[in-house]
Amino acid sequence: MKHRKWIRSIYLLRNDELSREEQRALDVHLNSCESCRAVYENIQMDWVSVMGEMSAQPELSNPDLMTHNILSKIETITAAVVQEKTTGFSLWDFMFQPRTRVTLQLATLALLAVFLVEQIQVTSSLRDLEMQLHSESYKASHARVSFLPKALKSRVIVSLKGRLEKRGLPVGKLEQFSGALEIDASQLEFQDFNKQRTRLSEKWFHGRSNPWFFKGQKQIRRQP
Amino acid sequence: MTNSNTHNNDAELIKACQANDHEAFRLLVQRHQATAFRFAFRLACENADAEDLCQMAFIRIWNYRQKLQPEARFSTLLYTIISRLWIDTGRSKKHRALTRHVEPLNDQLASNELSPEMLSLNSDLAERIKRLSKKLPPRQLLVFTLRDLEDLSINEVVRITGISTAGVKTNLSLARRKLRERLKAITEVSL
Ligand SMILES: [Zn+2]
Repeated sequence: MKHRKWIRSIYLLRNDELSREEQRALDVHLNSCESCRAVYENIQMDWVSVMGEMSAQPELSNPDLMTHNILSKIETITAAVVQEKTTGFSLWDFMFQPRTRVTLQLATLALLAVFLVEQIQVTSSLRDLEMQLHSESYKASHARVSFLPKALKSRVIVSLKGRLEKRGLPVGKLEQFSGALEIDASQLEFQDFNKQRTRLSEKWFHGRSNPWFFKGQKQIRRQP
Repeated sequence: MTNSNTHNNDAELIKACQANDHEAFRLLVQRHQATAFRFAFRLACENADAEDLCQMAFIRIWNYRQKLQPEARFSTLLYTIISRLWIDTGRSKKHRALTRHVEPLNDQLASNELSPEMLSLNSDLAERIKRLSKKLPPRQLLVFTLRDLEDLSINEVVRITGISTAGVKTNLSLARRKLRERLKAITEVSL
């Protein structure tokens, strides 16, 4: 076709598909251009055949069945919603609520922060205590250990004794310190701790990055 | 019942559905399922797919009933949802794949071994639609189906497809040209 720019308009052949201006322009062109007019007329005729091929009405074979299927699905959905509402509290749903998740995350972070601060404080006060044990002025209160259970206090003393001995320092004051913590120092060397539990408590006091602590510990144990 | 009566009645039924009235929804389904199926079949060209699309559309309408505006035309809503489902669930691509493997017309005319299903009105129509719409992209087929087969106004097609008015007209013009050329090509081959 020679006049390609009219193609779009020519195929918009039903009422109101062209704006008034477009329709007027097309009419003017069709009046003056024989080839476009022929194309236009052919399209109009062919279009009847196209619609004849395609415009038959497909039929729904079983309308009642479709209605039934849709309604029964909807009843299932409604029943599920009702059940969800009546079963009430669901831990699984509760745990996955955004608010719960954020709260748990914040609580975990807060606990972790407290734990780290405690770790640092206990470790540094144990170091202070160790320094003070061979100086003139020492106080049991310098070590933040009085809040610990008795068994763990004993571990602190054993650990300190090991450290002091390893470095050839006097351990006499340690007994005084034990007294202040209400621990019987004479019993300390004979305590038989579960290995696993010892490790856990050691980690609690000294953190994982304290290689010489464990060596000191072994030396104490080997003593008769 | 006149068209406007049906429309008013639809609004009442939608309001009833919003109050969880299953019977009202049953009436809506009964009233509109034939239209829904006809449209879905013209897009999907398969009974099972068309029925699936209809069921999914009605269930979606039920699930979102609280957000519906009762005054809006129910059929427009149905056309919109079926169109989107047809595209979103990949059935438009399936249609393209199906139409690529359609046998030529004269082969089918020569064949005497048509299955009983093929003889039914729907499968016959499906074959004709597939044959002619072989080269239509989904968007053009959708616009053509809504405008020429479902006989909706350009404005309604714009509302349903979300395509601009100019875009709808261009797609429509292209679709009609391709369909006409395809029919001519087929007729010439078979002559
Ligand atoms: Zn011309």
